[in-house]
Amino acid sequence: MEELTIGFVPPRYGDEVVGGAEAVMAEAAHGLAKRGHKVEVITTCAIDHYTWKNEYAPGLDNSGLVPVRRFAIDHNSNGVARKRIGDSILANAHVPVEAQQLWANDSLRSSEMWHYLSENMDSYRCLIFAPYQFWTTYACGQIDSSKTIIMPCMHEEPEARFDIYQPVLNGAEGIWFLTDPEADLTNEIYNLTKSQQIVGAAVDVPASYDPTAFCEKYGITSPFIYYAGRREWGKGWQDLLAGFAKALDRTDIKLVTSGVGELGLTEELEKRVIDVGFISDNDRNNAMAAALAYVQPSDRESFSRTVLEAWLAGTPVIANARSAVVAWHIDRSEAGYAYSGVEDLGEAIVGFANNPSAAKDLASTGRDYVLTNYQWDSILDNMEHTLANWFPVGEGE
Amino acid sequence: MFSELVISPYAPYRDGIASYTVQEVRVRRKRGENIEVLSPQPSAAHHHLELGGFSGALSLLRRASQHSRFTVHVYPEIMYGRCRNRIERQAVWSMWIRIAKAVPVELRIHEVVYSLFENSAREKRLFAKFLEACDSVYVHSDVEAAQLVEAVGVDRKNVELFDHGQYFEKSSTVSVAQARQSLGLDPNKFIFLSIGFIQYQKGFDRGVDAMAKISATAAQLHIVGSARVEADVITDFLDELESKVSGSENCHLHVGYVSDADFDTWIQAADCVVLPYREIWSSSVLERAKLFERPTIVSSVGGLADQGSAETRVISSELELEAEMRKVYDSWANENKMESSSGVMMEPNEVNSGADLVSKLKQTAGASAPKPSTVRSNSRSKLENFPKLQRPSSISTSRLRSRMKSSVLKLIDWQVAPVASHVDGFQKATTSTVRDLEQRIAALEAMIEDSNQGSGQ
Repeated sequence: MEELTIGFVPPRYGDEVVGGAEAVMAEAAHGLAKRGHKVEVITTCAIDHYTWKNEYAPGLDNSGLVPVRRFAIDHNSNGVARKRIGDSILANAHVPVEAQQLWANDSLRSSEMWHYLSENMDSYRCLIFAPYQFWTTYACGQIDSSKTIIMPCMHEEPEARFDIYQPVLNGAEGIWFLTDPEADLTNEIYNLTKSQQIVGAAVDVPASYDPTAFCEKYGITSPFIYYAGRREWGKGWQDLLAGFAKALDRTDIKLVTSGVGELGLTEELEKRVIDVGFISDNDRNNAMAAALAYVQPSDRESFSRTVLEAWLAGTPVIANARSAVVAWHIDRSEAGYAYSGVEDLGEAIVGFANNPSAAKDLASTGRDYVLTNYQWDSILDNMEHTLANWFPVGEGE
Repeated sequence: MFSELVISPYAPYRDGIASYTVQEVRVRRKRGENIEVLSPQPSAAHHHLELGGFSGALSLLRRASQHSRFTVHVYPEIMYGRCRNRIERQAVWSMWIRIAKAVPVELRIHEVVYSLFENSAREKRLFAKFLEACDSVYVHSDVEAAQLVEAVGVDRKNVELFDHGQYFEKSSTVSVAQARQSLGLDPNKFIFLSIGFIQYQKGFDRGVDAMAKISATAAQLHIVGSARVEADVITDFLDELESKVSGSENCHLHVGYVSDADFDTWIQAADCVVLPYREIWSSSVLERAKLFERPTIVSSVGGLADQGSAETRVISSELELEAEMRKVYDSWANENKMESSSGVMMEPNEVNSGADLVSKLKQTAGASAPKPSTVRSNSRSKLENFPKLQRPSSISTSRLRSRMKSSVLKLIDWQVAPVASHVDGFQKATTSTVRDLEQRIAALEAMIEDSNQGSGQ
């Protein structure tokens, strides 16, 4: 009997998309397709998660290993309610369920995607949605929860406790977690009575690194710490700048950053921060290898693939201890330092900058940690195992 | 090609009408029908529009030329919920008449508060005119049709019936055993289920009261649902229900939002669905129970009696609810050789002598007597039903007067709010104290009774 399609439903998908959850979804889809499964990506036409502008063409693209079915995003709400309610969320105020629904709806939304899935569920063996807080997961993940796997990518934040996500997670036939701390947190908040599994995620191992090539390409001539990702409040960018500012007088080290988002630099910081913009995976890997340390200022991580990429490149990590997942990685790998607060971050940057040999030595256990725990072969084994148990081939076909 | 526009709440908004519409739209779009959805609430609909007032109705009129047909799911919020007074409602009805003249309109009436028309012949006339202008008007039962005809004076032949469950599909295909296992329910118990939004009108508290009286030892009542909106009146009712359930061994309250599949899994797991509503027009839960061929006990309100199936028992009072719950349980208990609700199952020819018969009957009487701890005292009932201290309403027939009242209320709110809060808190504390005392008295009574039985008295 022919296997039905496994559908991956990320809010965005494509080479230009920056996002950890989106990257895990894309790699898992390709990994399962390479193993002979029938896989499809169902997503929107957007690249940018700030504007949600439709940039890819809608429709089915069969040109790659994994077919991609794209749907246009509806731009018929003005985002005012989301901004207003978002301010309440930031202030940690109580958000009534009606406001939660309004907040979830007043952003990325694709009625055509929802109706396509509602009317074509029979074509799919199961659908995998991530991350939990996006409309694609919140709305589409409830269409047929008996065929739904949620990969929540959850971390501690007010939205994690919203009522509207209760039926999404509690109702889903299965949950794929990336790490133990994520599973602990989700089970604390939700009443998950169905199947769940820590499947993990993986990072690709580059064949080689060329740190000199990166420095030459971008004209970098002195030691630097590195941050890759979205430069935004939710990722701790402002805290990183504040901590780095405290180190300026005591070290000459620079901060190199790649990714998207406004930098918002002071005059003082402009001289010491180098923005290389959106760069290729190869350049990012070389930047990781060239850096004295990789800094992860975000306290909202569910996996933190860049931390693992840094360790693969032999670079130690300075990370925010408030992120349970990153603190857990550092505790297990012993290949970094988890700081508490901006002052501590400043001290850590100075400490690493003034002791480069010790910093290099600190990273020595990191690569083995990643190679032992986060390789695609074992992750895909986990995923296949759960798919076989939760959605046996032939059932319901 | 112009599309039909369905105007309704829509998923993932948690609402019975939304769920109803989703199923119909799915089936009809799969058949190739060109349908778009407009929802007043946040949802997966194609369009959103704030309805319930004049500006919303005017915006709909502007869209009329873009569609071949409007199908409107009628309930108060979508038609007139935002109107501040009767004058505005009349303007809204006039606008709907214009809409119905601009595009064929099909009405599916789920809920209309007919008392609106009792004191306003003009508003009643406008509503009737709107119904006449519509292409078709549907209700779900004969009772609702009769109510509409009586309240508005429309011709009965212009009101058609629409099967509530016509497009309903099962969201869960698990077996009863799988359903019970997944929900952690005992496979050997008789499961009564009350499911849906928890609010006073749904009457789920009546089921708990009935359970206390029927002493069905192998039965459980599970109440599953959530508050649709965060309002004091709903939160207070939920608190009371929680308190009531906590005093009962065989009643269980599961508060929270459940997925469509879990909703159906609960129904599949149940032996009998109990819907002791105080107020309703028609019920999607009843329709889902019918889909799963589950016996139901429903109140004789709205169109429920009509909507039910051969497996539906209709009740008109708490006593009848208790009696029907007892009957369905006893029937199951007899089939499964369990204790009946009277506590002792009398097998044919089980006793041989008159003395044995009397002894057995005494046991029966003892078992069926209500337990002291589950009987709510009159004093607590009075306390619990004592109305909450309400702020006076700022709504008045004149907009100016409403604004003035609202301003005054805002000015004095800093003084009034703490007092109201204190009085309500005092009421809750008193109720709680009386409840504790009742439980202590019940425990003492039980101890005395045990002691008397032990000493052979």
